Amino acid sequence: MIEISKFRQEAKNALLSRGLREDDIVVFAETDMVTDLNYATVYLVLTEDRLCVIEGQTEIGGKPGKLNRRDAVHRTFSETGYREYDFTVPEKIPEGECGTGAEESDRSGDEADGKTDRGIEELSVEELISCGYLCAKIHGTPERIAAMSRTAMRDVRLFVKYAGKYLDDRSVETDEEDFKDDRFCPKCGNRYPDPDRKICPRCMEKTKIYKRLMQFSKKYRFQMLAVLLSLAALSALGVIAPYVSTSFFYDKVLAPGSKWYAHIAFAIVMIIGLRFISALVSALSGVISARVSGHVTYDLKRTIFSAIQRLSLSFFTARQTGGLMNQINNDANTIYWFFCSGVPEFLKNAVQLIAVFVILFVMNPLLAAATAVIMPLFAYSVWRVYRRMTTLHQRRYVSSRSMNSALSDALSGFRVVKSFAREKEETERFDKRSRRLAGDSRTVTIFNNTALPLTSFIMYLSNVVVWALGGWMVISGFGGMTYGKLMAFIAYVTLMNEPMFMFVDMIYWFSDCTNAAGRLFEIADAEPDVREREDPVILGEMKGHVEFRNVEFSYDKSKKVIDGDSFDVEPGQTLGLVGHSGAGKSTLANLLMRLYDVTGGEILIDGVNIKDLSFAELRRNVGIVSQETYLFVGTIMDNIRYARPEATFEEVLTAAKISGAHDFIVKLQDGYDTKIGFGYKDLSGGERQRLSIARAVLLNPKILILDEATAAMDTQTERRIQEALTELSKGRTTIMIAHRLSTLRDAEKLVVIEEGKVQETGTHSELLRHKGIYSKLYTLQLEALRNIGVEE
Amino acid sequence: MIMDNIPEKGAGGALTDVVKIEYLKPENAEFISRNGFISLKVLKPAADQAADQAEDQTADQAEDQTADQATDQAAGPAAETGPEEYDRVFLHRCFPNELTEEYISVLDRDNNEIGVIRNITDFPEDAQELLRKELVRKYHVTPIKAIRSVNEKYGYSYWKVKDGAGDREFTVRDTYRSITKISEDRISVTDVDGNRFEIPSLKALDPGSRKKIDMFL
Ligand SMILES: Nc1ncnc2c1ncn2[C@@H]1O[C@H](COP(=O)(O)OP(=O)(O)OP(=O)(O)O)[C@@H](O)[C@H]1O
Ligand SMILES: [Mg+2]
Repeated sequence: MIEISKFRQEAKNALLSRGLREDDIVVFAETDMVTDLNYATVYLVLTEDRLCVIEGQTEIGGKPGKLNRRDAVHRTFSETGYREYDFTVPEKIPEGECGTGAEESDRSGDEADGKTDRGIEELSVEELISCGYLCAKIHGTPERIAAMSRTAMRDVRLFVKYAGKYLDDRSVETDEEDFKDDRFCPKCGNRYPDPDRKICPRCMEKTKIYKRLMQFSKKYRFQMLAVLLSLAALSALGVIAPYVSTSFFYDKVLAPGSKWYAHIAFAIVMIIGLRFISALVSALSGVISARVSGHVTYDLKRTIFSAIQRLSLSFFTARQTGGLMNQINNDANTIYWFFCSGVPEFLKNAVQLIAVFVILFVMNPLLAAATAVIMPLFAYSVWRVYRRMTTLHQRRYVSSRSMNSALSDALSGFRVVKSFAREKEETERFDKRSRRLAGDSRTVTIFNNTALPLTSFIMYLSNVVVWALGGWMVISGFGGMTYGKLMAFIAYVTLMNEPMFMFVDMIYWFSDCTNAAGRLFEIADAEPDVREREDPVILGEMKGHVEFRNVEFSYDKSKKVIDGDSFDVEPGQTLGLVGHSGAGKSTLANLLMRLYDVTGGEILIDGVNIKDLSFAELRRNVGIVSQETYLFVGTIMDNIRYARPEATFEEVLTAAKISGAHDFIVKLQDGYDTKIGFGYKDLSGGERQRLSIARAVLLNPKILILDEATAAMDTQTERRIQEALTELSKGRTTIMIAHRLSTLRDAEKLVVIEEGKVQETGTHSELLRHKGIYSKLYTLQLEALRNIGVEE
Repeated sequence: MIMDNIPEKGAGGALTDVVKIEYLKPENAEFISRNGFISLKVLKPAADQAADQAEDQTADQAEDQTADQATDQAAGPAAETGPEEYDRVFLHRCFPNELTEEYISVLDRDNNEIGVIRNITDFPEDAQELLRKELVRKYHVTPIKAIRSVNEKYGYSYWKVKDGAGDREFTVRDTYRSITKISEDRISVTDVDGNRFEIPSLKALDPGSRKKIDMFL
């Protein structure tokens, strides 16, 4: 049996009741919708002569809330529908005679064109917006057999593949790739919520995250120890203070006949001294912990950033880069605050809470026990109020984010806003969000102003209860309670208010921090798709022979962008890539740069697979002027020297001269030291392109890729640069991509790509003679130019 | 503002004069049901067919008028006229968020556009019924009747909701971006697998559910 979906016990039973034994099943899969697009459990079963569809509902037994351990719970399947379609398959017979040896099925009366009706034909998956259908031709009529959500689509697709294979020639061969099922958590057997991310939220160990976080602070363990000690001292001082200022003061200093009677000055000094020392220690620990956490987050950010640099391009195209950066920054900040105030506060409060409690118990166990019951009750109600506040805060955060994004959108798209005269609408858009933020902020403030007095009132109530109880004890002399003791007791109870409060809040803080750290570590741990070989082949001197051999590639699995392309370029020659927009030219360039790895076939440089070369060697020898020019914020000099920071002034000048950039640079007031990039001097499209060319020329690579490098320039400038580039391309392999075909006329070889496939190869004149796609494109362009009066 | 003086269609005159969209109307198109699948018969004037072919070949130079003329001559008038038949066509809403029955693109098996239906009510009752059914089927999403819980963890959120039939669980990546406001009141949520869920009306949601999703809006 080809078991595509898990063949569970309840499926086994359901099939048996339909007379299908496990041995009869050829392909089994499960899907989750019936044809009216309602959720259900549907078994797709292919046997030797039938396709059975069993529809029903699965009940998951066991206690509710135990849903987590799905495989442990009892499942029952109750059937609601059953259909079967029979088919005949030709026995394995020599090719070319397909269909003739087949048995006639009982319903195959309606044959068309002498073709044998085999019952089921053309199994296929039809994708809808959110779900899909399994379709087939049953005795010549198309029919929807079953449906699926996107979740089950993978399984159904595999079913179509293997059932289709079996229908063709009874083949039961399987592709290992298809069954390499790593979509399930090995620990609990549940499906990962996200197939691309192998993290099971149920099995993830939070302690592990904390341990890793702690590793970052390991370097600073002495400082941490100092913080801990001072915190302990602080709590101790905090605990002593009320004793001195209440019980000691009332019962000893103010009690006639005691040893300390009337030493008021001494008592006052002691009280003040204690406060002073605790303030000092507190400041000290604050300074140390701020420093440590600053270092820790710096280390953390650096780790993340270098991890990001290591990752492949596909990581970023799968996530929005802007969001990613934002998220990293926020997460690092969360962790900073956690270390800076979260951990110390937690420790301080924990020590304080325990110490106070011990003291309370020593002072009066009975009243202490009563307090232990009352306090958490009140703390809980305070927390309820508090939680509402966090929601409000979150709301305000979201609206401020949306306002900010509207602002940055309008600013970076300023040109477009202006040129379409949309200032009024943009202002309105901003105004709307800004108003919303103002509203949310107001709500938060109002809530703060009403809720905070409320919460302190609640806390105060809890103290009143202790007061009443204690007062009664003093009056009745129950348990040896005195007035001073009661005052001290109350003072201690107040000391508990804050830690209680903190602890409830801490729960949120901790989970925020784990989330942030979890996300950061995910990035740090992500494996780059494009990986450098550990023992790369060293080519030394590169000759520059480039060969694409049956190269296949797709960005996502759905559509092949490059489909089995083969061509090569001799060392030192120029290859032109021609094709419609979206044909896959830039993709081929990216593959040669190894920004992505091919999914099939191979790319060779001097006969060596580029996967076997070191990144350093590859990047040094292959330079690209890409279609999208990107300039960093910095001087023109920095931008040109980007790939070779050690290049001399003369080299930079030469490169700029070759690329035609020099001419406009010298006209700038600050010459090569002119600052460019976002917020500085703006360059024209053609100027930017010339800088990018200079950057690549300066690298002086053996293989140069020019992707529409001169598209934004006027014909005259282009021709001048083209001449320089032709000169430059002598002795180096050049791959040139251009829509303006005239620029490619001198290339030794032209490759025409259409929809990811190589359609024609040859020289300019060969292709013209061939009268194919290229010649058509070329005559069209020539024609067009002539019509507007330009003669090439 | 300057914008106020510009007539509705823009200062440059009607754009519809520049390029011709192939609208399918009862006069030139007939939709036929084949066991619930739609097939189509289109009547095209001969000249249009030729232009169509020319357009295919020079897809990226459509703006280049001279180019078009050149191929027009090269291709010559097409040989066959008469109805074109498609055994299976697919419908696609051009503006799925706003218009459910207007501007429906009709595609062939290879996802090439055959034409656009301006409004399905242009067609006779039975064809309307057929088209409507197909559209409803294609754009089916799971409605969310109530939200049991939304837990955010490690950049993902885990949802437990109630749809028409029962409880559903799903996972959403990058929560804020996966929630789309179709209108002020209508929300769509896309999960990691690409399944779509929809809250048809925020106002109709019970307050508890409302509170759980409010944070993300
Ligand atoms: N990062 C990406 N993720 C998914 N698809 C992509 C990505 N980049 C390009 N594509 C798709 O791959 C196909 C080929 O794109 P490519 O950039 O190679 O075309 P091109 O031939 O360079 O076109 P042009 O002449 O317009 O530059 C296009 O259909 C495009 O939409
Ligand atoms: Mg490109």
